[in-house]
Amino acid sequence: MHRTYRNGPPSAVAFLAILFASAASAAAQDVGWAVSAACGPAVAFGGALGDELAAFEDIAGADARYATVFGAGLAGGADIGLTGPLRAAASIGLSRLGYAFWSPDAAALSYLSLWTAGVRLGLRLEPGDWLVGAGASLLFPVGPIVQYASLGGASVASHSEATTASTMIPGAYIEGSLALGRPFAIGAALARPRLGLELGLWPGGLVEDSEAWQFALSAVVGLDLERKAAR
Amino acid sequence: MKRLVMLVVSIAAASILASCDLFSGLAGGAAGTDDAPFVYFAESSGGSIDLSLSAAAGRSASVVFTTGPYEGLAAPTATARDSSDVPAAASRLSAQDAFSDRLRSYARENANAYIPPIRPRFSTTGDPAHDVAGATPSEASFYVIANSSSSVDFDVISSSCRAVRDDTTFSDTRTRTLSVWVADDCWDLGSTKKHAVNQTMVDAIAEKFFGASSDPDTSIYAWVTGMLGDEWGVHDESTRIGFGTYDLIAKSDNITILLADIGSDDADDGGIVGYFYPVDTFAGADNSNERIMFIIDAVMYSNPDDSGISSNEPGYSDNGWSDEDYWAEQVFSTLAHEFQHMIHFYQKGVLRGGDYFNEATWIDELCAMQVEDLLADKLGVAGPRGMDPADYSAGVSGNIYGRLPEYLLFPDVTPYDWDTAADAELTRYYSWAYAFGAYLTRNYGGSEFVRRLVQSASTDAGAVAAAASAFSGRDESIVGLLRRWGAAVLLSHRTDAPAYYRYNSGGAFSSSSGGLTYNLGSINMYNYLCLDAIDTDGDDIGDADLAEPYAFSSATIGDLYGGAYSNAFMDLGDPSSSSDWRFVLPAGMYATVVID
Repeated sequence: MHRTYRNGPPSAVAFLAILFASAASAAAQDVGWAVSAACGPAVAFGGALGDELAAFEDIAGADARYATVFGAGLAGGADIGLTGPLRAAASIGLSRLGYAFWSPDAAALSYLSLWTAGVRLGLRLEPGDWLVGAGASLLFPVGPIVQYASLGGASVASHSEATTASTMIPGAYIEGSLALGRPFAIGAALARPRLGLELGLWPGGLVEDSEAWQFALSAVVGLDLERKAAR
Repeated sequence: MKRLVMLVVSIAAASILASCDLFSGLAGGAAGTDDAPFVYFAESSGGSIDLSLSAAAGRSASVVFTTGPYEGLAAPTATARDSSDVPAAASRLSAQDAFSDRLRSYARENANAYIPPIRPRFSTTGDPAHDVAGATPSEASFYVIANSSSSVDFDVISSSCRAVRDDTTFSDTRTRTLSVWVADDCWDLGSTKKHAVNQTMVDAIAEKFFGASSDPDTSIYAWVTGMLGDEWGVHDESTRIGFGTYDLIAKSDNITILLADIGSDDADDGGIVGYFYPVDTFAGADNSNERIMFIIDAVMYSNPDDSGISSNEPGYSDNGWSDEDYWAEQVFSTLAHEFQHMIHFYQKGVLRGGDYFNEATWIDELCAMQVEDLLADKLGVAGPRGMDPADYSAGVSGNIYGRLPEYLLFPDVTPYDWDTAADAELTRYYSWAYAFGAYLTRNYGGSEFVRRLVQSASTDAGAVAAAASAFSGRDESIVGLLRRWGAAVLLSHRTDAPAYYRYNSGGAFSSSSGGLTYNLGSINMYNYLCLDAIDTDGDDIGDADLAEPYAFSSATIGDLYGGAYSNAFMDLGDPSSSSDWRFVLPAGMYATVVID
């Protein structure tokens, strides 16, 4: 039954896509562009991962627990003014997500990571230098499943085709950021640095039938870009 | 703004410091010298897997290839990418012939489509309440399977009742009667067979099954019903079993054992030791004996040779029959085995409407062999473990007894070929089912695991997973169980294998059902020996013994059959010298790495 929402186009994404297209035609003159890089902890809980953690505990000992992997992302996108400080935002990018288990007593760990490509559509409230926003994201696996596990004197690492990764990974995000300093010129564009935080959630997990809650908290460094005004 | 910068920088720094993947190299790996068993589940099913192993020198690595529910998967490929020490596989005797003989057809479906025809006819056996034993015994004719290659040909065997146990009340308040009948051509002075059944043997089998008159609770009946429940009882007048409806005989408190020469082959050292035929419970059906009964081979049971050697063979010795003779003990273990089938039919099919007649054979047989195993010490017989029942340790190397030696040679069979297998191949499926069941009972609740499996309407592999889940509290899958089983086989020489990977604790695995305690002995697969299993000189004649589960090499893995729900082992050698591998797996196949 989980497949219904995991493999179907989430209605929120469809709604925002329509909204964004409408806004683009109505307010083509108020378009902003941005690029960003992000990093932060990625972690997943629940669903079949509870049993996976228990299975890891069988091998590694009773102090096994969830742990984080290094989440990362690169994105580029645009936002369009709707009304007042409300803007529609869209972006595409790459994200590295995953989860890990750790047993400190046994010095054992196990992790899985996966690179994805995806699209985000959302709304932003941007009354001044700061903004807050939320929206939907849809990710697709683009790299191998990377796994690693170690216990005591042995370890195994593998790169395998993402045959068991979910075909589509729908989720949602919230964001907040602040523009810093003054714009500076980069070629024909003006750029202004922006620092922020993002929290992503993918409630179906990365792997088929895992039904886990995948999270990623990211620190974001970005540049707001706009065309230099004509003389 | 300064606070935001600090926050963003802190999160970025903390994420780097807390990310397990970035610091995996410091978490143990090759730096340690610990030799703890290590099991690694590759997530993907199908496609390529590039694997890097790391461990101290002197350890061994293996991979278990596990298949899901799909038949006929292509064999995987395995390539060592930097190895200087790729292990070679022994040449398994006849393995290739056996595999190529298997037709990947759907003949099994046809076989399972058989539904016993129901035609009105009069029972030949009479009412068990009128059974009389002794000088003027009751006489009747029973239908007995005529040969071992067919289940639809029957002989009509004239028989006499030789023992009756009147109402016997067990401590769980069940009250039953027992009738023991013997085919006239197997009885004492009138016997035309190699060996004859006498009253001592009849009394012995009655006592094993129902206990001494003063102690009925020390009996196969009490031990098995205590674990699994009633063998028969009330049921709907027209009983739905799966998708069919059947007229069954009414509630009966009698159980009948018939001693006859099954198959009329006069074989005294092997063949069908006994059987339960559920159609015997059908009212008015062709070849139904219309009793709650099972048939035991009289010729084997009465073979007096201590070691079970046939009277045709050199070395045969008749020093008088004893209930400790080889075949007598085999028969007692078989009584427990067949009694499980009887209860399985009633509990799963009759009471719960499960599709018993289409149940995968391996599930019913797995339960039956686990009941044998669970009762081995109570009966004082070796059982399928092939060990002294009083010895709960894993024993010593060189054990050629029980079901496990043949498992070593054919660990990779698929249980779904059971119904189409040639007679000569059947024992390897029993060995597979025993080995898997022995893993499940030692890790998922012992007698309670079998009870959960029997007392369930489900008749497919999901029933096994459900019984395991009920014990572990986890959402177990059959593939997950198979993968762990494969690892447990490879780790069975260790007494420190983790929970859910244990065959060998060094002592007994105990469990309780119905107020009774059941013990299972430890198993070390490396203590068993399959004689003349390996052909070392290519002449298709076995000339070397096999003392560990057969493992493919990268050169021979292409011979893997790839049937449903199977495990195949491949040796990866010493991970310190052959560390990088590429596997290409068909969809539906999983890889599990074990470093020992």
